Amino acid sequence: MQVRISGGLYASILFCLASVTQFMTLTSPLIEASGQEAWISALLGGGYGLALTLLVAWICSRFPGRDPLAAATPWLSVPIRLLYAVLQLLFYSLALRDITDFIEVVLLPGTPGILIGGVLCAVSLYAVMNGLEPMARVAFGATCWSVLVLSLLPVGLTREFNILQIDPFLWEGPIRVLRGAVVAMPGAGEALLVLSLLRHLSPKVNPYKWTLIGLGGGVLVVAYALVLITLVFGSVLPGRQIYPGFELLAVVSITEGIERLQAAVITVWIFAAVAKIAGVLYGAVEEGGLALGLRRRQLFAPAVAGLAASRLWKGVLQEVTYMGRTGWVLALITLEVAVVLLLAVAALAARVPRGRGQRG
Amino acid sequence: MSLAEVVQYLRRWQVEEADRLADQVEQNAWPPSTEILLALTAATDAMPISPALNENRAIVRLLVGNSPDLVERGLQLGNGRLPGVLFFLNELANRDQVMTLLESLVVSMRRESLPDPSSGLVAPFLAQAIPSVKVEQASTMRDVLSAMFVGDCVLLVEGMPVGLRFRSDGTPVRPTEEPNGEPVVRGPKDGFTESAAANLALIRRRIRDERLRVEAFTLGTRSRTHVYMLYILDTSLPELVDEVRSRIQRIKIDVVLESGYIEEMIEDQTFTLFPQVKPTERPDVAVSGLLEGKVILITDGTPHALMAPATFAAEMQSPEDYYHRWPVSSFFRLLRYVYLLVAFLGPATYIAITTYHPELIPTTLLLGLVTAREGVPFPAIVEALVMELTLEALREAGLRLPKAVGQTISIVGALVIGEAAVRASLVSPVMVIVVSLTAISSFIIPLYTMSLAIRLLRFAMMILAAILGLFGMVIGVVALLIHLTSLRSFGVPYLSPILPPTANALKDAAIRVPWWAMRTRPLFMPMRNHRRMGGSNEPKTPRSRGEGEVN
Repeated sequence: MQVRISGGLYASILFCLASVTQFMTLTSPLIEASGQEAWISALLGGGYGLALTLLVAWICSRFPGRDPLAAATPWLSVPIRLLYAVLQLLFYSLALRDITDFIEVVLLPGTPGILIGGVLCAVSLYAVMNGLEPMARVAFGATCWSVLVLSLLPVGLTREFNILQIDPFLWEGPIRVLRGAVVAMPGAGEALLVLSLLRHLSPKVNPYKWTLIGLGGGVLVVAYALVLITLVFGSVLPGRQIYPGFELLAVVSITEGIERLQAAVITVWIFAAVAKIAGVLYGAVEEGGLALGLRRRQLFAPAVAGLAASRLWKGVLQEVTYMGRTGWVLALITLEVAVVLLLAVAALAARVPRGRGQRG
Repeated sequence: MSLAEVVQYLRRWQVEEADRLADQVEQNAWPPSTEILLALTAATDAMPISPALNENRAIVRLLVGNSPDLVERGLQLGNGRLPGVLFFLNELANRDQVMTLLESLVVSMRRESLPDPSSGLVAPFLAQAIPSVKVEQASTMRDVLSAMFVGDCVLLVEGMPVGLRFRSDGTPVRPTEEPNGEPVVRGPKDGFTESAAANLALIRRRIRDERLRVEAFTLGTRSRTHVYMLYILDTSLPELVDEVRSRIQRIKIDVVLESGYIEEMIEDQTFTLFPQVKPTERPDVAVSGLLEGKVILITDGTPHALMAPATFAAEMQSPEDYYHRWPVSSFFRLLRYVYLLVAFLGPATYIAITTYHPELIPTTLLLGLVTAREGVPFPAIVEALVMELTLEALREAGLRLPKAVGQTISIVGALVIGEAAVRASLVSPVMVIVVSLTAISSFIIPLYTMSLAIRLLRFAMMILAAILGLFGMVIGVVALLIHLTSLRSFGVPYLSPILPPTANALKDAAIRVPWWAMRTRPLFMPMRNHRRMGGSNEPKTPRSRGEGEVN
């Protein structure tokens, strides 16, 4: 029996994808690239992600079961699925590395990164092996907690806001904003996971609405965090900090005795991070398994996770993924766009002879 | 018991298998060997009742192994011309009912002439003559033995090829009393006992509706334990009832001594600490479960009935939640969830914060903690493990010890050993506070089996916290959440109605709204009829009263 998820669960996975690692690891490079207007860059990058995912949703909705690749000829569907699986595997590797580094640096200095990464890898593997629904429920819980914490965050930061350090609007010029948007684009493109999720979305659910809510909500949260960071630290210092998002939590002071809560608040973030990496691994396993014709795809998961986790050891693969930032960003964007374009071609080829589809 | 009568009984059966058995009995020494006895026992399902009374007596004695509690009361029925034997097991059969029966058979019916035994009219005749006892026919030796083993009496009469089974109340049972495991301040004080029939009556007393259905099963090839499956016809979903029935029918086991045997064989997933079938000792809880479409299993020999399906939220509810006023119930429910987290994560949080994240502790408190831990040579995890394991040992010892001594041991353990351990700098005073708070919190969980699960998981969380701090705790919680969300109890998600959340069902999850606002039963539960009450039951002040004069 195929697992069906509700619109809320689907949106929660997208929210975790779009907001988690971005909040902690993307804020510094974004502010470095765009300065005070980093939030606009985040919105523009998010717009790119939304455009890609809505296009995928539109294509998928034309096919029975929202699965255009199932309708396409294997000559087209298998390479597309493999390309998509490789892309998700890269996202998984990057996210695993980013989260491991973050925890190693700010939470557990002195603890071997390989141990942290291994634990993350194991728990994401456990989530994938239990199927989509438990994973989506974890994402739902993480989303609720994240929204609650982010809503209360300004209360603890009010005393730290410094309006005098705000520059005039677009002080650094629009080019820097666009440069920042390019930095934000690959992360927003992670939401391509919708290709794997849409076929599990309940047929009664409007995919456009919930994609907008989930992904749009995640993008807004990142933009909101960037505004808060700029209001507290200005537009220069955060670009020099490794994790300005964490520093933001560190200055939260509600009253005497209730301060320095960053380690406690960050648990919510770790919660969402696990949901995110599990989601991405799920995409890689599902599509990889379909491409290779594996019936019991859950058994395929350890191999995929192991391949991704191999990046935790410093070596060639790690060097490849971290080669020249710009080149890497452009490579990821190219891959994302290629997947969508190839999907469109496959959909077109599948629809021409059959003539009829199903509107979602 | 003699060889000739047994052989004659087997020969009269006129079946190849019986002839073979008769040959074996004849050729071997008397009494027969274990192998022959086992072969005879295996054949009891088909063994007919012989018209010759002596043969029946011999074979019954042989099958029961001449047990000292087997009572054979010889009778002379039908004007003293018709010999008969009343078989029962001493103390297993209800003494008063045996006396009444014997009085009827020996005194009242001594001068009555019975119908011809071979006519088949004896059973209806006796049923009319002794109306206080239910009479049934026993047509095989298996029926005779089964009847005796549940405490019934069996009458075998010369010339009659069937036995007559007189139902009795069976084994003596303790009277119903307040359940030890689920006591309440407000609410009914009666609890289930070890008698399935009495437990069924306790439920019948609360649901006077013919739509309450009871199906009987016999489980255990040796124990032949009676199990009743209860459901309400227009409330429980037929698919759920079918599923429970089929899972019970799948059970092939020799003995069922407690409902725990059945629980482990009908649950959806074995490799979990969480109970997917809720045990209860309270008839009111069982009845509320029935009205929510659940299926109840009553097992003879245990006061614990099983309710399926079970959910996490239902296991966190106390029957009193529905008897006290709703704001009070809601407060205590929320408190229960908070302290569930304390019981689960209390020591782990202490370990994680003191070992990895001391910046979270307010400065003055941190100084106090450092002073308190001064002189303690062990890391927090060792301290916590020593204290928690000691506490678990005390708790376990408390269960085994006689009640009077148990209390003393608890006090000695808690106060004397704790105080001495602090003075000897084996543990810090703060750790004693943390462990005590955790112990108290674990008692807040209403369901004992859930409390056990939380207690065991606490150790895993402590180890994770010691290795990876708060990160380890989050990982543990996420893994547990994944596990819990993947659990199902007869197809119902275990975390319902919290995950997936449904607004209607949340009225009776972490809080409880007033009774009149709970118009429907939980919508996440599979049942035919969710409607609980018709119309609006919201209390209103009569209009006339509002218009009157106030003195």
